[in-house]
Amino acid sequence: MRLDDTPDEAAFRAEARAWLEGNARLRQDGDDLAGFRALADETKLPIARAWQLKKAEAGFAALTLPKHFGGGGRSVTESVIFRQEESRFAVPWGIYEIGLGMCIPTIIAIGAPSQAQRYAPPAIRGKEIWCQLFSEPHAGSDLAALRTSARSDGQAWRLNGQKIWTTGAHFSDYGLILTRTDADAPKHKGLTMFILDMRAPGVTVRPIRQISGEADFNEVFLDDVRIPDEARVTAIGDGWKGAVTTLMFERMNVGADIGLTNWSLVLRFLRDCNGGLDHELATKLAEWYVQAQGVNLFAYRTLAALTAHHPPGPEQSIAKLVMARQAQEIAETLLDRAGHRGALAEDPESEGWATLVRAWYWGAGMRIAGGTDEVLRNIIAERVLGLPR
Amino acid sequence: MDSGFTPDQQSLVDTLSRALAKACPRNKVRQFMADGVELYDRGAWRTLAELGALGAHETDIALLAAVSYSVGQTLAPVPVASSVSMALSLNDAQLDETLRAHYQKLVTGDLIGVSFMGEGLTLADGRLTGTAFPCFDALCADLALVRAHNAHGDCVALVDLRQPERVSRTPVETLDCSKPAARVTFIGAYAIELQLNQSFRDFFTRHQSRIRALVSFEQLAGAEEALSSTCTYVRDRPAFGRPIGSQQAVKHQLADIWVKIELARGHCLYSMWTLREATPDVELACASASIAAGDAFEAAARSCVHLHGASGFTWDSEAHLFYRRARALQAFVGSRTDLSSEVAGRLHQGERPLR
Repeated sequence: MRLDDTPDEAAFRAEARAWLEGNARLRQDGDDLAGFRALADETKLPIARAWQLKKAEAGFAALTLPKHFGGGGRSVTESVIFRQEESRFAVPWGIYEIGLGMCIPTIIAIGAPSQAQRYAPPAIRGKEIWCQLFSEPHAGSDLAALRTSARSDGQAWRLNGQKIWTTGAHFSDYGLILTRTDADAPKHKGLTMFILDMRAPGVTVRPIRQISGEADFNEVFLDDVRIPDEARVTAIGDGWKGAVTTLMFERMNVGADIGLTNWSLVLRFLRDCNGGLDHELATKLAEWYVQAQGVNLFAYRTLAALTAHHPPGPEQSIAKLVMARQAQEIAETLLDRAGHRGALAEDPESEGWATLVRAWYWGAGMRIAGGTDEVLRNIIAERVLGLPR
Repeated sequence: MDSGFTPDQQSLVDTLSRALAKACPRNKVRQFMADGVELYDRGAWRTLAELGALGAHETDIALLAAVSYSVGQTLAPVPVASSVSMALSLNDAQLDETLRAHYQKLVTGDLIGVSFMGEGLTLADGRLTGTAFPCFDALCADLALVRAHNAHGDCVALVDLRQPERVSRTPVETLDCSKPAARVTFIGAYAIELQLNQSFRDFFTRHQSRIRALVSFEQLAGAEEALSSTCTYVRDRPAFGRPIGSQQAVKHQLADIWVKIELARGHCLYSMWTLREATPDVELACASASIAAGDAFEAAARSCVHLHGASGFTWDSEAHLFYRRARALQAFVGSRTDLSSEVAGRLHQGERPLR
């Protein structure tokens, strides 16, 4: 576990910090950053696009992707350094992470060079937004059971089926889609991955309203959608390997904030309300701090492993498993502390209330998304501890 | 994911664990921990002394993490945590020839040291009076570093426990016999007040942080052993036509233990870094490591007993060894609830981790 920057890393950190200070606003205690996600598309998309372009022009976008695509061409450590520095500022988020964190790296790693050439540069500059079309109504945790079919008509592929829970599909330009190309093969072997133009005829995107009031994710219906073979990312039947590659990139987002809150909100809350730090809350606060700081320190170890070129493994499940439940628990505890006011959707007198309510909703959501708590525990038990399936 | 140890640390762990396991294998450990045959394993203690483990901090304090880890991994019944932390803290004071001679013997393992920082002792005219209870490892120890009240307030004194007329040590039965405790009564025992380079409060805080950090490595290793033992068992033990380890309830319980261990590991490594670099967040780091590792070990030990079924409740099983050691180490450090209060208080007052 390396806790100190090398001289080169320190220089990069200073450079990143200086640029951020000149181009963004520092986070304040009262900022409800998770609320950016709740803004209307017409408001948040231009802001996000402008910030992404700014970073791209300064060489701070997609830091681990190759320079000839417009990425930073830097190391994993440097990308983490930049993310650490950026997290101190009030900047947009939630638009480009899927594309630049998962879809584009997958295309670069296993797709055709022409695909990387076409799609990486505009994604990095923020011009094109991506989504990931994996889950289906009958295939969530059991992704390999997916049914959306892709049939060759001799010249192109025809896609039919339905995807669901597709985050950002309603504002995405492209998506990485996992389909079944061979219904007779064993379920993990008959899959193929493609690039889907979200505006192709036959693609219908229908937003789904979430308990939080937002409509961040969608159903995506595919009605005889035509895709050229040039849009195929994997070999036919190799889609599962492609999916695993995508998930590996998801795991490489070392120390990525899931966008909720942690023990520091509790301290802010205590400042605002009169209850003070009683014994029960002190015990919980310490527990949340020890967990959150534990996740932070785990990320330093992961960084050391990635730098030594060990691929990210199933251990990465730990961050979301711990932090999503913690966010929900913090919200439950503090809302309960508020007594009768704990059922209010807003409290103009409390700066942190909106953040708290958002954590109450999204803590529940993030325990499900990206691998449910149960699936993550199964992965740890089976692939780390070697327990039988 | 690796252990987070440097190559030097890992090398020391491998050497020490091998040697300790040879000197005191698991069956023998049970005799010390549960049967209470003797206070500590002299063979294991000599092994550590000969390998220079007791003075590891003289090269690099981080090597002590490796020493503690090996002791925890093998459940070696030796008073390392007591003696090493006491020697480190003694070395913080201004040492004259006599004191330096004592210190050298602690480093070579020729003497065993303990400390007692509770209330109840007074020092007047070089004579110590009062009762220290519970004083861990005092029965086999030669020297004790104690907190005492003198005319000016709190001070630190060094007392030789081998004064039969003036120091009485009454054994008290403990849940882990290899972490024995005593009621030590001082009746005008000769003691030397230490000249400190800092206030008593700072000395005490630093001493406490060291204990927390060192013991956290014993707890971390113990938790890993308990988890490993449990996984081995559940992988093969059949029930209802399949191994019990294939049941999700079992998998999830063990996955949660693994999570606690991995979170604790980062805290343990970080606490040693803060001690070595003398960072401003050292107290916060060491207290946090103690909470994380203590919780991980007690949870792992609980699961170990539980998931072994009725056989986990037998004397002959090794499950109760983890259960006992986890409790003993926690009590040695102090209440985890109190540690939580301390961490919460520090955060509330604005303390933050450096990393």
